[in-house]
Amino acid sequence: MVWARHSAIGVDFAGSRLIAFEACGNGRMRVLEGAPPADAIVAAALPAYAGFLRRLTAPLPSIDKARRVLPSMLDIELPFPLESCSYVFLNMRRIAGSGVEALAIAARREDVSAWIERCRAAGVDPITIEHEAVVLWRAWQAERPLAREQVRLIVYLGSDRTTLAYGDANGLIAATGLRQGVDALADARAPALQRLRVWWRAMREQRKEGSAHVAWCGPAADRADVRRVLIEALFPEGAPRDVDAPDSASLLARALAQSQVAGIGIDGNLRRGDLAHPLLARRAARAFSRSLAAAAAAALLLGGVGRIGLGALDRMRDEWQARLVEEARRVSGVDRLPRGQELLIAQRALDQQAAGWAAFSRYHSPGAESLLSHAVRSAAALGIHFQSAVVRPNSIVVHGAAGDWDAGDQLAAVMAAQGLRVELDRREAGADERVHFILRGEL
Amino acid sequence: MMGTLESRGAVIVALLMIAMLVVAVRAWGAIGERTRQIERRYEDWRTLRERAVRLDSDRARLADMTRTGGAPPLADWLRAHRAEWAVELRDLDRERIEGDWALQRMQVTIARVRLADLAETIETLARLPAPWRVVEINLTALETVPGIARASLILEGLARAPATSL
Repeated sequence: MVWARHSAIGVDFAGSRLIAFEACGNGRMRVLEGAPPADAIVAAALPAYAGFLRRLTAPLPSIDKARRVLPSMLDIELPFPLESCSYVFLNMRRIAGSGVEALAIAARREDVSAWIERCRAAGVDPITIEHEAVVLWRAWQAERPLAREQVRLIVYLGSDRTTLAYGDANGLIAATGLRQGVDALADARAPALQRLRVWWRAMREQRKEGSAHVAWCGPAADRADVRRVLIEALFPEGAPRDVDAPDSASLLARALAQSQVAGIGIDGNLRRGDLAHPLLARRAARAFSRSLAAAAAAALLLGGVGRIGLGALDRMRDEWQARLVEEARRVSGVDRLPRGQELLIAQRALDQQAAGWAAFSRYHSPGAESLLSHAVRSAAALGIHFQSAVVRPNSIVVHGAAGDWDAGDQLAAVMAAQGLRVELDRREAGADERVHFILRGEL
Repeated sequence: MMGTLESRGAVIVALLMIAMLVVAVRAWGAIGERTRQIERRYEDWRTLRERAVRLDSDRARLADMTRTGGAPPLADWLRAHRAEWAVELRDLDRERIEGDWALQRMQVTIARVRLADLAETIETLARLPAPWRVVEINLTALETVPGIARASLILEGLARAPATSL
């Protein structure tokens, strides 16, 4: 669904303080002081600790088929029932030889609902709630795209939460979050820090290659002491290269606002189903109604065109029926013809007259006169005597005698010129010193 | 309340859509049958029309040939044009064409005839407005003189055929 806006507001929390950032379609951005207007389009992010994120690969060649299988695969991975969750699948793509890969995002509906309530308590009602790691990853990718061999660890430091997101040039791979903020991480022996270390070691075990760098952001990203402790805990082999966002405190809010304006935040929205914002629900209902209306109009049009076409064909059929009846009446001389019997009766009438007309047809075809004339004239010229002859319109048989051997041939050539297939049978000259022959010709 | 109205509207629209789809499917299904019916009627009409046109053409030709009363009586014609021939005539049969017109078939035997004269005569008979058509010629040479033979012909020509004779 395309959901681009002229302006939108992204919100984040620094403890109980609301960070609001407005982005406009013309590229202008500004920090909002105080609560946004009630009718503003607001986007928020669900903390990573309340969400679930996993890259899944369905061993199927088709994305459509994978779309049907992925929920079951997600259900197996989730630590809570899928029915109690709001979930989406992002960045679905075919991987050569292994199937379809997707980034599965899920959160318990009660956690999404609780986050909505927290936003409302702060004076905002977000239209979309995306997973925090997804938004942070998108923001950093826009800020500094990764090269193929690079991996990135995003560390979001807040006053009341911490988020780590990890990925490579193909996208986000995993994320984890803590309900504790920077203060809980200041001590190198803090349990929260141990959890992050274990998670990060597991990530590094899965992918050893690639040069990692750390991208810092969040309202407390400027806490140098916490950063040092974290780096020592996560990278005991030595500090990696690290980068800071230009305005790290508002990076999340800014990215949320920009996504809304660009219309790309809606796909990962976890506020869906009965949790959906009324505006989106109304919009979806309107879209559904419009689709229904369009389908009904199409059906109406299809039905109408079908009926009109059928009517036209009925008229055409009746016209040909009328012509047939008229012709049959004329031919048969019968005024009242039973429907469907017109051709039969007319043909019967024609058949009764057919024998007489066949004779007439034969009568005005050429007779035997032409063949006889040619035969008689040629015979006279060639000195041929006919002993007997039978001539019909399409055949001739001549028993004759000629003064020389070739005369029979010449007569045969004359007959062949009339279109006859001619056979000539000659005998040696007899006592009368003439060449006797039989000539047979047939059309 | 709003949701109920919307869902009722959706149901109505969906029912309308289904009804129209049924109408459309039936209409489009019937179109094939109608087209076949039209094709059948057109073919029947064309078949009849072709035969009727041929019949009309034959009737017109018959009317033209019989305008002056059909082929001339063969005995009279031969007497008038070939008085020197010793001719024997025999009425073979008559085949009815339409109305009181028939094709009369006759056998003509000429005891002694010059072949050149015979050829010329039958060509003249064939050129008459209602001709005598030569169906068959049998020639048998007379031993003594070349170019002269005994001829037996079968000719057919248009003649009136009283119903009782058919």
